[in-house]
Amino acid sequence: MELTGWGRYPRFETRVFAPSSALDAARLQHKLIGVIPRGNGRAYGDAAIGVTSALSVLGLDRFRHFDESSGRLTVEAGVLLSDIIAAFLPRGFFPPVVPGTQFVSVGGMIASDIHGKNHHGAGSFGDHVESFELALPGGEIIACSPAQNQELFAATIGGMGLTGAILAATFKLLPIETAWLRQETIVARNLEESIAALTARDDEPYSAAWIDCLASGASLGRSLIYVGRHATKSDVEALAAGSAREAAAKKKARLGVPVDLPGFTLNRWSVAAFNEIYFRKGAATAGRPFLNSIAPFFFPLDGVANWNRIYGRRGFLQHQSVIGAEHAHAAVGEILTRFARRGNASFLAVLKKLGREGRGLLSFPSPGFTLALDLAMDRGIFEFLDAIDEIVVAAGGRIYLAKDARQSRETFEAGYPNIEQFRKIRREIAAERHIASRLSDRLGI
Amino acid sequence: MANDNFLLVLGGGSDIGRATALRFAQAGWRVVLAARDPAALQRDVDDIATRTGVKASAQAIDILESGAFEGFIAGLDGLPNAVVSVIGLLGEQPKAETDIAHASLIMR
Repeated sequence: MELTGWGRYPRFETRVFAPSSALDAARLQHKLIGVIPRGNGRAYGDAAIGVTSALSVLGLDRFRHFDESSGRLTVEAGVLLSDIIAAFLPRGFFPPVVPGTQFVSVGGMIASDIHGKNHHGAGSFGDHVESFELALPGGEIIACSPAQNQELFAATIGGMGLTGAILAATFKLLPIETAWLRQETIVARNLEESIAALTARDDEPYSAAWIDCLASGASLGRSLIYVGRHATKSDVEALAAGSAREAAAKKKARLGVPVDLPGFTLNRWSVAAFNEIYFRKGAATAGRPFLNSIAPFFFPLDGVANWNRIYGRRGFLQHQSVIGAEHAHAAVGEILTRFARRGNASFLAVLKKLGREGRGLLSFPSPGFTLALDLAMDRGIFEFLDAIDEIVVAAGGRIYLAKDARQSRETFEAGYPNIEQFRKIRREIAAERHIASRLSDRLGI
Repeated sequence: MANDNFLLVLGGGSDIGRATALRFAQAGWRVVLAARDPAALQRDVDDIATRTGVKASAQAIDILESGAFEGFIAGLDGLPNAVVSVIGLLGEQPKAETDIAHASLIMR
């Protein structure tokens, strides 16, 4: 069947296999050549499209064990984050790190070493993984942890599935007092203020800035910064959740985008109008803490099912880079200037402060600021992004593989200094050619 | 969230049996999945118990061995408040038309 990532570009004819148990998955993977494990298909580009075939782990959807006293949970790799939240939020636990959508598999979270709004303090998901089971290309199943098969542990976290399928994983959930977030909105009038506010408020567990990418000149990089933490019972009492509860109940019915909108629905003017309203609405709540619920705080876009279709059938690209703090202002400023000048309808950009380097050899996070922007497919987009990549490389940054569909080998190699070590491990387990995605093929991994 | 209710699912190895047990467990019911090969049910039993925090277990039963039913009941920890049976054999119509043993098996 024709397979794509979340961005619906690129598209490839790919055979999809759907084993129903860990043992079947290991056996199937052993037999296939040019196969890549695939979770819920939320990587944007070509990471989960195999050269010949994809091994869906969604049938590995069973929970295995939970220890209430430590919060330690073991699940199969195809379990979705949304299922974990549904099962454990009512019991007072929350995943230690969540990305911008809850419709990702646990295997995918490890393979992409995903980060969330709490990266500056909590690190990425891989930092919380205690161990996992890995199916090697040769067919054997091994346990990996910081104490066991350490090399493969480090290669598999952030390794984009290229060391074989993750079958199950163990990590600790975070105990929480309530299902609410205590949120605050900060208005930053330009990029300097945005960076300063993200830095000044990094005592808040969660933070991210939503940048209006059509603002330019003195307003370049203006943003609404959302900071928050899990609300305690006394926070909830103090902030009276009544209104927030009602709002959450109303939001429960998900809006959907059932069909592809024509590519011209989004243009410079419609997006500018949207951003103006969005910015003013957010600014009106600035400075007053309020209670928000999990979904709108962490997963705002999940509220619009199939939002990826608003870019039309040609699909879209997301460009996400990370740049060290010393170059962040200049480099992010230059990138935003070019996007604003191009006027290509990027709704909003997200800017977030990242903390420590990830544990994985190919982990994306590194100290500094990460900027993510969406772009509809159009003429000249690849050349435009190549030029953006040059800014990133010159600033010593890298591009996130889970979002990527088009970076060059040179850009990739400049950003990921551990690639040789990763290739060596792939050779040692005979993963070359055997486990291969369109992404690994494109980047020579 | 656990309560005192107890559900027995006969044919717990099926997808319907598993889904039914999970819904009851989410409502706080203790569940027992019964099927011929209880070891094969362990994965689902663990799944239900982990997701819901209620007790779930597997028990062996061969529905054609009616003589063993009393022992099966005695082996349960108390009597169930509800039993869901999703055991059945569709069989093959042409074969059942000529093969009395096959027809009898379907009708049992």
